[in-house]
Amino acid sequence: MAAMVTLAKPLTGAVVAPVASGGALSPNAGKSSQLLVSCRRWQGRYRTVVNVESTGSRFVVRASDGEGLGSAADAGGNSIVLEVAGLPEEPETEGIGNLAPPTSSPRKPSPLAKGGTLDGPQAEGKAPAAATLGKTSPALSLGTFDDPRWKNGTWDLSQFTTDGKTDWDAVIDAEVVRRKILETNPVSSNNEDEVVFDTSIVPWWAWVKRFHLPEAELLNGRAAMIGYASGWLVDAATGIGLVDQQNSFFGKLLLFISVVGVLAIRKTSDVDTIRDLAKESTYYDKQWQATWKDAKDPEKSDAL
Amino acid sequence: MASLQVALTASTSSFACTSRAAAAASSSYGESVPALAPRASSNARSAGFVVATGRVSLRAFEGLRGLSGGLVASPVESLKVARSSSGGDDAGYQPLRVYAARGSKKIEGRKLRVAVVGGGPAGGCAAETLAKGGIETFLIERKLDNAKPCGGAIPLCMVGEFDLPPEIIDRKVTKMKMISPSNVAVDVGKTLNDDEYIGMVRREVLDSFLRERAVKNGATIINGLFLRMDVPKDENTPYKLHYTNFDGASKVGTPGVLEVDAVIGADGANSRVAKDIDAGEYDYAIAFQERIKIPDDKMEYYENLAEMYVGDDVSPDFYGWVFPKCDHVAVGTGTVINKPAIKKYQTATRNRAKDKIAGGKIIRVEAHPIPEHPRPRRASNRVALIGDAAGYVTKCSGEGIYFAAKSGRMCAEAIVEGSANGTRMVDESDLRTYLEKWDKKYWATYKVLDILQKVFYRSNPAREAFVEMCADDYVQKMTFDSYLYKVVVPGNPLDDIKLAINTIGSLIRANALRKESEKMTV
Repeated sequence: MAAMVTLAKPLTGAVVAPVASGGALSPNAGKSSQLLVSCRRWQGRYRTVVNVESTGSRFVVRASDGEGLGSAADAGGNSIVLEVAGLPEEPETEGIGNLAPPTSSPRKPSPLAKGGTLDGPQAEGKAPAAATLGKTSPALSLGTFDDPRWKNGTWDLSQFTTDGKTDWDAVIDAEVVRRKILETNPVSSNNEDEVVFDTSIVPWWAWVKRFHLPEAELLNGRAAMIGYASGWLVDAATGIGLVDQQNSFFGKLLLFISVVGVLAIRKTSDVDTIRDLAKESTYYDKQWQATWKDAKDPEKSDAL
Repeated sequence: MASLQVALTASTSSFACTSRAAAAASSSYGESVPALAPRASSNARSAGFVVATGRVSLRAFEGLRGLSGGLVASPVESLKVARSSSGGDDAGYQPLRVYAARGSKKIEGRKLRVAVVGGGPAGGCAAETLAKGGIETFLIERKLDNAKPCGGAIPLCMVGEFDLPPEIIDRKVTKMKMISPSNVAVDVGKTLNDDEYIGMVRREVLDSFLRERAVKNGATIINGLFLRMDVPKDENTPYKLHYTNFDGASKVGTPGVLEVDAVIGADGANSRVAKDIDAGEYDYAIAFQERIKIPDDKMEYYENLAEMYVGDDVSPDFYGWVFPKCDHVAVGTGTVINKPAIKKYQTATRNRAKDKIAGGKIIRVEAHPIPEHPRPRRASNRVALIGDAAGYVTKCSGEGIYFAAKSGRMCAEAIVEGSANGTRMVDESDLRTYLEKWDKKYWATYKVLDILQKVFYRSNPAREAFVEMCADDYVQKMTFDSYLYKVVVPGNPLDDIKLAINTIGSLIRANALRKESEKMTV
């Protein structure tokens, strides 16, 4: 009787919470239909990222036996542990044994699908490495980092030096290769071979020469083309020469906008990026102030 | 600033008076509260943490670094001095005097009854403060020996503020290692004093200590599972809490009903109290942790050292950790946006620490949701949420124990004051006082950590830059000061500018390397 009562209640996030004393529930016809009812009832209360297949028609009800998953057997509705138990097992790490056998039960992953979970490539992070997205060549994915110029956890600069001049470009290239390989095949961090490389050993002018100057050339070229073209068009339209165009406040304003525009928006996707950044920077504040708005509707939580 | 405080006090009391006179409180709440609060929060936001020029407490910050003091041996000493002299942790700060309770109904013949649902750090501290304040307190906890899956790290200020005995702390972590995606390892902790540490505790030990202390002060513990709550329609009817009592009489538990005047929801991330008051949903991370018993020689390395691994393989928006516990290590990771892949991230974390935990055996696997931001509604009529139930977990570090305990204490203090030590009925304005105080005090901390998370957990280059920055002494000092003492300390402006330039430089370099690697088609 008590068990039936417990099941009928809509419970936070849980498909079913086991009864407190840890007794296992076995599914039987009468209870499962009641489960269906209770689940459909609370499905409507959640307006978050909904796992469409969660309006399932049948699911196995099983209390985990608490051995492998600490507090799972509690009736407190810590269903996320039950959900995690249902995830497919990953390969074991070498040298680590598992005394506690994992329990696996086929259940729909509802707490894992909401609360900010994203789908597809977005779920890999805001700016995932190409390796994380799976976009690497097979040659790289089999490789290990093995460079003779890497000594004691940092690049041995003497090996990049010829006639007293260090080839910083080569250092940068070597570090790029190292990071790429490690992104694809992460390696265990070791106390004996500690990595202490710091990118600031490469002097600032090397970075400027290699990365800033080509881009600056590109942007200046764009700005020059835009400037010349618009100056010519305005001259053709109004007859005002280049110097006089900039004498007015409006002309100066347009000039400023075009310079900033060329700097900030280099690809079409940059517009979206800037808009997302603006939204992101105030999102957390809005979440905190929601309690002062005393809204009747709870705020929709779209994860950023 | 002083004028703003006066204005706030005046408007609070006038608001309270009108609501009493009207006796139909809900409509006036809707209008007055938004008018009241955004001023406070926008003030805090616009002026950053330098807001309170009228607040004496900022002067106490200098004492921390020994700049004006110089008599105190260490920041810990100065904190203790400040605390004992003022009798509170807000040294010299004049709390907002809320006169709401003066007009509220006096309770005849009994004390105010408050139920605290949930007996973790938040519930335990709330119950203790309520009981000390003369209120009849009921603490409902479903499992008195619960070992909540938790990192278990508490900052130094918690030991002082909550008078924790040294036996509670299993380990004092004084060194941290941050490991970047390309395994650049940086040691953090050189700037700590001899008596500064991060305490590692076992949750079952800490929770039961706080609960016992609440009982000693007069609270009643009910070993029961809170099921649901009947919300009253008017302010005279009490709240009816339905729970299952596990007092040992029957194995399954007997149903019980408790009638109280106010409820504090401290039942954690899956809070049922929050559901019953329609507090709304929040984003949450799933934290997954394996306790691994490693051989003694490997355990020596983790004697007082904790590790943090960052990388796309370990988590797309959080970090993986190896924290030492009493006689084993806890290896875990977490994520918000890719929860179904948590086991993949856990394997990656274990692999990154493979050499250091080889030969270990997994003795326990645990997982728990961690809220990412506060719920849309943290107080409703005479119910308030605290701790994880309210969503007071910081970003970037995922720290929640201290904020749970502190919010419990602050909420209880607001109730004690609003009810004039249990003699008068409380209402939503008293609970909102606690929310206001909380937001004002900790908003800066939360926002700074949010910015750090957004900037440095964004991508692998950002994480590389993050680890590079951690090697800097100034960064370490600032980080530990703000973590251990929970104050956003304004440092030396010149050093701040240098830090800003170095950070931008690191980020630019790391991103430049990433762009080069994308051009590479090996």
